[in-house]
Amino acid sequence: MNPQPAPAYPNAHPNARIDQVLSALRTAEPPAGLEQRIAARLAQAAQARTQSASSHSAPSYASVILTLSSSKGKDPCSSFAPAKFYSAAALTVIIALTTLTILHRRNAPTTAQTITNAQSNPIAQSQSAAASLNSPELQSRHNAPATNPALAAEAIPHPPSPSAQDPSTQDPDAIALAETLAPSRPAPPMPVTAQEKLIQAATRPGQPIQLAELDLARAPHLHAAAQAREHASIESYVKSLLAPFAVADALQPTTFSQPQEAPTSAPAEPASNPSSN
Amino acid sequence: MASSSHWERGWDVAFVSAETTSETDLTALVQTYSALLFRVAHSILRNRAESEDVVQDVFLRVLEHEKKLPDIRDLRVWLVRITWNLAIDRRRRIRPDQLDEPFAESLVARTAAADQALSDTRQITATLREIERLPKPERHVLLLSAIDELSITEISTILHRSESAVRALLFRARTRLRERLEKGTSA
Repeated sequence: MNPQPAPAYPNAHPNARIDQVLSALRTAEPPAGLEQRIAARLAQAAQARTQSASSHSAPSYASVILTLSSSKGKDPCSSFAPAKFYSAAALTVIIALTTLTILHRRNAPTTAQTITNAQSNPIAQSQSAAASLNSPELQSRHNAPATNPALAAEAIPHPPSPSAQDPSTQDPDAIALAETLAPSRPAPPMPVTAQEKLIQAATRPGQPIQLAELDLARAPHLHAAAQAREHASIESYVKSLLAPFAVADALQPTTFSQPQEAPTSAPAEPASNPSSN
Repeated sequence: MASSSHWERGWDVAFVSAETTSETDLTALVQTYSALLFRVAHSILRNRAESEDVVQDVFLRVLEHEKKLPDIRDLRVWLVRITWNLAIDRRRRIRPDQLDEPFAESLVARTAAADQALSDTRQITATLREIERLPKPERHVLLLSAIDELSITEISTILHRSESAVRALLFRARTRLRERLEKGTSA
């Protein structure tokens, strides 16, 4: 007890007594060593937490109390040794987890970063496209012979299956650009029906001369040949028409030669000219 | 790997600095507010040992709610309110006479004569008893106003009342207490 030496107020005025009491409450000083005792009490609580709970926050409490107590000259280090051990172990585990996370992030390229670079920088975009074109997949695609339909079909890139590749890890712009710059491939034969084949034949006459006439360099020769062929066809047609007459003429040559020859019995012309008379 | 080590180093420093801040915070709290909290508890309990126990309990509460400390707007008022409530709870569990008489004896001058000291002790005890008989809002305002460190604004925050209400309660408390003491003296 640290009693406050207050003056006596024998039969004092009530206000004086009230002020005396309130002044005594106002000037009450904390006992010596209050902070150390608080630190010891907190140390007990922290130690109990460290032993009972497995949380990582208890060591910080212990270190707080350790600091508080050591500032007053006490040495509670022996009681806080387990707490410091747990704190160091927790710190080591957290650092290890952080390192693993960073290494994982470094090995896996981020899609967002590639997209951002491609959209913001055209040079980077072209480089990215070039890199995509130089990729082993596209190289094998270029080296595949286009004449072999089977190999060409193998060389045609198939869209990545969702189970094989994660779409989020690929650059969609690079894929689209590579698909755009890929060499053209002949379309596979259409599975048409007989009716469709007839329609194709009707819409495509397939006359070689008509198609070749489109070439101006070869047009005169082809045109002359066509005229000769047409003239020959006409002659053959006319001969075929005149063939029966030729046979009949061969069998009855006079019948047909008589009108053509000069008349044998022509009327006699007057011998004398009447005008000469 | 250079950036990785740099990041780890920064994280490490952040962790250590947070721990150091926590230590500093709690150490500063104990060193700054222990005396104030002791006086707050002592105004209710009027016993030094009981008041010290209350202060220790307060800091144990702080330890339990350490993560919430940054969210507290006024830490000083928060600590005083915890101390106030814990002291009131403790006061309910003990007989006030056991605490008031030793406190009243401590206020009497040691050089006074025995009969005079006895008379003064009775008057101070009567004053404390009349304080306890005051209505609870008036008693609380009167006891908190005895602590110089607390302003009217802080008292209003602790008691969840307006400043004008606190001033009115304080005036009524002193008036009522004076009247009762005058009646007791005249009787």
